[in-house]
Amino acid sequence: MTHVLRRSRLLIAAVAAGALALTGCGSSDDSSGDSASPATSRVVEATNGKVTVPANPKRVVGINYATGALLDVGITPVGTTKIEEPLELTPEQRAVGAEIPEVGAGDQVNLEKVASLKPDLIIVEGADFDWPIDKLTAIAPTLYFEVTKPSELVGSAEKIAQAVGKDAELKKLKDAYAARLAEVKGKYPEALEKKFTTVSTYGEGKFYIGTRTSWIGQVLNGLGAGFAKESDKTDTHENEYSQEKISVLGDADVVLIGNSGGKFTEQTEEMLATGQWKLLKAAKAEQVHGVDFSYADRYTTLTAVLTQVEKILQGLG
Amino acid sequence: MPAPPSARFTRPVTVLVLIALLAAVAVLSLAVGAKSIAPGEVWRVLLDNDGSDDAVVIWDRRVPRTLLGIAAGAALGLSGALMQALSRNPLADPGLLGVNAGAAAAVVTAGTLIPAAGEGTTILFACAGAGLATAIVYTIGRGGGRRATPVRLVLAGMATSAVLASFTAALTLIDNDSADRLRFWMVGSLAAAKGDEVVLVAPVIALAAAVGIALGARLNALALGDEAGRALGVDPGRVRLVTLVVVTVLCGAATAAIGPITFVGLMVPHAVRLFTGPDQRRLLPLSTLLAPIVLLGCDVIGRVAARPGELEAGVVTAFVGAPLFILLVRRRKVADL
Repeated sequence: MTHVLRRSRLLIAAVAAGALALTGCGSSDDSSGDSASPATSRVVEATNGKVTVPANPKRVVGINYATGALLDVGITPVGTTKIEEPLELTPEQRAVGAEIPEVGAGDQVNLEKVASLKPDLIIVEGADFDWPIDKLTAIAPTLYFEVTKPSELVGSAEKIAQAVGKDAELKKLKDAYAARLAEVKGKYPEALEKKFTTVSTYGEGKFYIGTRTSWIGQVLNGLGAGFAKESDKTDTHENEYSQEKISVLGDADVVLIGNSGGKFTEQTEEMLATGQWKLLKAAKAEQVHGVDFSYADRYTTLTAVLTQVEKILQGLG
Repeated sequence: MPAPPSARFTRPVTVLVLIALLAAVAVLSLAVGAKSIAPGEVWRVLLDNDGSDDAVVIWDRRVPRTLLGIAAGAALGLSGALMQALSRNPLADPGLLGVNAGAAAAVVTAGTLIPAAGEGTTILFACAGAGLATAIVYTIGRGGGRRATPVRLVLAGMATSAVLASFTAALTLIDNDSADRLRFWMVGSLAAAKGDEVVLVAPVIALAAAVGIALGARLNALALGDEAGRALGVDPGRVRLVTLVVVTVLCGAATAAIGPITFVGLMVPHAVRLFTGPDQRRLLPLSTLLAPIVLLGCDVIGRVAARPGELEAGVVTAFVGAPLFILLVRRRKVADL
C-alpha cells in the first residue's frame, strides 16, 4: 500500500526554508526557569487537529514512516508497523528496528496489538490510507501527519520530532546536513559542473526521470550540480517515459539510480542491459551509479545519500 | 428469406482483407512509437541494423513487440472462440476455466517463495500455473467418472478460479513485492516484449493454433448436442479434452507473455460471428486473424496516446473494445451459438 509514495521519489523544496521557522514552536509550556511545575503535556497541531500529548512520552507506537522519524531523534518506539521499503533504516538503526514488536504492515494496523503495548502516544505518518485514527485515539493520544506528496515527508518528520520534544536532536541532524552540503559543494566545484540525472524503472517498458525536486535531485540541487536536460525541471518530482526514449538521457554525464536492498532491482538491471542504454554517454563512461536510501524521508538518510554522492564526485576527479 | 450471413461473405476475400489489415497494423507497429522515427529511417534500419539508437529501438523493441502482439493476439482470439464453442456459452472468455487465475497464482507464488528466480522466469511460472489450474478443473469437472459436460466444466472453472484468486489476494497482502509484480502483470502489456520470449512462445502458439483451427468441423457436430455428435462419428469427450488442452496452451502462453488481456478473446469471436454465423470452420480462423489486429492496433494507440510515456495495451483494449462491444450487442441480434 505504501507504493504510492514509493514511486514518488521524495522531497522537499520548501522544507529547507520553512523548517527553521517551525523548529522553535512545539511545546505549549516552556516558560522560563520555573522548575516547580514542569509541563506534563503539550498540545500539538496535526492533520487530525489539536491533540494533547504527554510532554515526555515513554511508550510511543510508530506507524508507517513515523518509526524512522522517531528513531532519528533517539526515540525507540515500543511498537511499529513492518519496516519495509520505502521506509529504510540506516545501518545503525537497523539492529534497534529489528527488535521493535510489529503491530501490522503497510496500512493494516492490528489494533489489539497496539493496545496490548499500552502506549502513551501513537504517531501515524503517511499518505491517506483511511488510518483508523479514531480507534487509535481510543487507545492513546494519536497524532496523524498526513503526507500528500513525498516532498512533505521531511517536514513531517520534523513535526514529529517537535511533538515528542526532541527539537534539539532534530536541529543537530539538520545542521549537520547543511554543513556537509556546504563542505562537499566547496570541495568539488569542477565535478559538480558535469550534467547529472536520476532515473528509476519498474519495468514494463517504461522509466522515470527524476527532476531537481526528486529526492536525489534535491541533494544535487542543494550542491549546485549541473542537470541533464530532462532532469532540469522543478514542476514535478519525476516524469514518465517509454524506454524507447532512453536516448533523451544522451546529454547526461552521470546517472544515479536508487538501490533496493543495496543493489539494483531486476527491472533496473534489465533496463541497463538494453542496447539503447549501452549507447548512452554515461553508460560508456561507467558513470551509472546505484544509490542507497533513495526512498529517504528524513535527515539521516538525506545525509547518507550526500555521502554517496560525494564518493561519486571524487571519482569524477 | 435473406441469405445466411456466411454466404454473403465468401471466405477467401474476408481472409485476404484481414491478412492485409494485419500486415498494415504490423507496419504501423514497427513505424509508430514513443520515440518518433521517420518512416524512411525505419525502413533503412530494418534493412541495415547499424547499431544506432534508432536501430536498437526498432530491432530490440518494436520487432519483438509486433511479433508477440500477433502471436498473443491470435492465441487469445482463437482460444476465446474455442472456449465459447466448448462451453456453449457466449460469455465465455479464455480465462473461464481458471487459466488466468492459475497463471496469476503461480506468478505470485513464485515471486514470494523464490524471489531470486527473477523477472525472466515469470513466463514459465505463468505457463505452469495455467496448465495446473486447467488440469484441476478438468479433474473436478469429470469427478466420479462422469462425463465432463460444458456446465460441469464451467462450474468447476469458476470454483477453481475463486479459490486461486483468494489465494493470490492473500499472498499479495502479505508480500508487497509480489503485489507490485502482479500489479504490472495484471494490466497486460506488450511493452516489455523481448526477443527470447517471442522465440519461446510463438512456436507453441502456432502449433496449438493449427490443432485448434482443425477442430472446427468436430465442434460444429458437437453444437448439435452430444447424441447428434456421436451419430456423426465425433467422440464428444475426446473433442472436449483436446479443445481444453488447446485453449490452455494458447491462453496460457499468451497470458504468460503479456498478462491477462482476455477481453480480446471475448469480444473478437462475437464480432466475427456477425459475419460468419455459428460455423466454427469459419469462425475459428477468422477470430485468429482479427484478434491480433485488435490487440496490436490497441497497442499502437497506447504508444502515442500518452507520450512521452505509454498506455498499456490491456488498458487501451478495454477502453476501445468495450464501447465497440456494446455497439455490437445493440446493433443487431447477437448471433446465437
